[in-house]
Amino acid sequence: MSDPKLISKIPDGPLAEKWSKRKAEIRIVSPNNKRKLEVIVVGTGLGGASAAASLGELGYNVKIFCISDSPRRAHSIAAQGGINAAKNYQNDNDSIYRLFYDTIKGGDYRSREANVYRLAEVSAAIIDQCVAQGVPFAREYGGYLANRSFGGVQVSRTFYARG
Amino acid sequence: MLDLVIINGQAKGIIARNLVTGEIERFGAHAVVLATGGYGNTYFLSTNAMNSNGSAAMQAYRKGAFFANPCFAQIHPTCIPVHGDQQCKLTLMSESLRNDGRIWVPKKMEDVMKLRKHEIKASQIPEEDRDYYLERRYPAFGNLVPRDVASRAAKERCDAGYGVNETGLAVFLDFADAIKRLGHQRVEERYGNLFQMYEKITSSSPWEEPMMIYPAIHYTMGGLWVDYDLQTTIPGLYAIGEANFSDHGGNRLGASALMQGLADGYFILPYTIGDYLSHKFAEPKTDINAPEFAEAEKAVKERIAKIFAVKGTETVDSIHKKLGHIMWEYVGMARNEEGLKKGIEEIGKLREEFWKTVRVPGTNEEFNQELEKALRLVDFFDIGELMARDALNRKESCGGHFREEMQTEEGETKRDDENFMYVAAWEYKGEGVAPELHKEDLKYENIKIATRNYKD
Repeated sequence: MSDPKLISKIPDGPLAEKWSKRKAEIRIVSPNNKRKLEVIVVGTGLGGASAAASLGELGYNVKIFCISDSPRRAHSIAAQGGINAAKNYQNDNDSIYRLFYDTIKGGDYRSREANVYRLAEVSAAIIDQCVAQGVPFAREYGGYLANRSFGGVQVSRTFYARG
Repeated sequence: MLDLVIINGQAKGIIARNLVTGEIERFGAHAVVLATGGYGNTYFLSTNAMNSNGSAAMQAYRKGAFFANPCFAQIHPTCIPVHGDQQCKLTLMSESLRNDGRIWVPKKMEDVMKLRKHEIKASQIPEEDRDYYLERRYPAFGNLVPRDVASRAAKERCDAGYGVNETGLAVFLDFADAIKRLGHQRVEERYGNLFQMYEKITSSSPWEEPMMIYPAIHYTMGGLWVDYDLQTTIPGLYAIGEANFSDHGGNRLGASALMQGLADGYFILPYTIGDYLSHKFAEPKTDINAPEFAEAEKAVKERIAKIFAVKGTETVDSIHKKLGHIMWEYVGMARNEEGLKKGIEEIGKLREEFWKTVRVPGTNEEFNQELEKALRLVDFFDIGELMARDALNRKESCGGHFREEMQTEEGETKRDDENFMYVAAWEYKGEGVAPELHKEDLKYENIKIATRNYKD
């Protein structure tokens, strides 16, 4: 039994439907009320910047805090490797389930199934979002997005930028 | 951010120091999101940016947010080795290099000795005298095993005496085969920028001789405990990206940190935070003149004054470097009960030393990076201690957490699913008091739990 102070709020139901279910249950705030609300975001790396931008676009008043000269100096901006997504562009039998499975296994079975499945589920949308914003991902000669592999994985699902 | 402000049990704002003027300022809101990254710099030497720190998470922890799995830290196998004791930063060479690079050490000790004396070059060692130890031990994944596995394998070879540089703490990452197979141009397209970076730092060209690499601290899987909505145990306080603990378990896979940061920031938090805020829009804006703000501001100012008042002789970095040595020695790649207890003791002593000997020049009312570092180091002591406590509690080997007492005959991690298949969430109980452990059981309903196997 988990400690009663730790209520994980993981929705019931099949793994693949948990996030959809939660999203349907979640209350939302109407646009005219969003502008009455303030949110502080501390940190301007990829997580903080994407959260602040999204909350700002939604209409919340966002205050953002940065410890560097510019958000461009954030540590995640300096990442060299790339970003995973279960797009299966290489036709190498990748899938949401496989990314989920690789992540749980790679983490040596100490992470939450529901959270990791959701991560794999939304991964594809991240690439679409980034491409739409103009992220200069590496591309093949024909113009398709390029992929490479990382450890603990037998498919090629990492999107990256050429230096 | 130097403190979190809680009013009626809910996160309502922060106290921050203006880094340019030193002014201590109050900021109020209906909710607070921490996207403040990991605590890898506890080790002093890491691949993290120099600025990365765990202070925001620690302030939240002291105000009641639970801290989960602090002992899960990732050691990245392919970093440029430490070259001296005046170094303050390590450089990562991307894991993508392992797509085509082959990792090896010599089979013969005489070759190792000659390499260390610069009598021969790596490229002169014939193929049959090389030990491609990852390919040997893990045929199915070869050089692309996960980071924790690759790091431990490098340590194993170096501990056995096969390290290839003067310090004995380096292995080769070789591109000769890739260059032969793909040609100069293809390799340059894939890794040109990384080769250039390596050459600039080491003045050795990966085109001619293999790179030398060694594991270093890179990422922390642990972080603030969050529920499915990414909310911490404090209502209104959210943690996203590396700052939370949620997705990577005992070891993160390459290229998944950006995925998690952006998943949380673009597609998860903006929805889930609405559920909390939907109850808040009728509330007025947070009043920063509330007594809770005044109290938090006063505490921050006292902390700063206390640091200046020490007026000792040691720089912040010199003490932080000592903390790094303690962490790497006792809470590093291989841990054991005796060492962890010793580590906790040593951290305690060093903390006392800090409060007696540190010297921070200048004043608060200016751009003062020494002060910033000192404030962060105070938090790194507590994080380091928490990591050691968690590592001591987790009597199993799992992902990046390797307890020497728990290993297979082949030196692989040995999990204890019966007793440790849980998230360890620590609750702060006050200064000098042991934190309380809370357990969240992990349930696997869709995946068959197995021993990790990267051999076949």
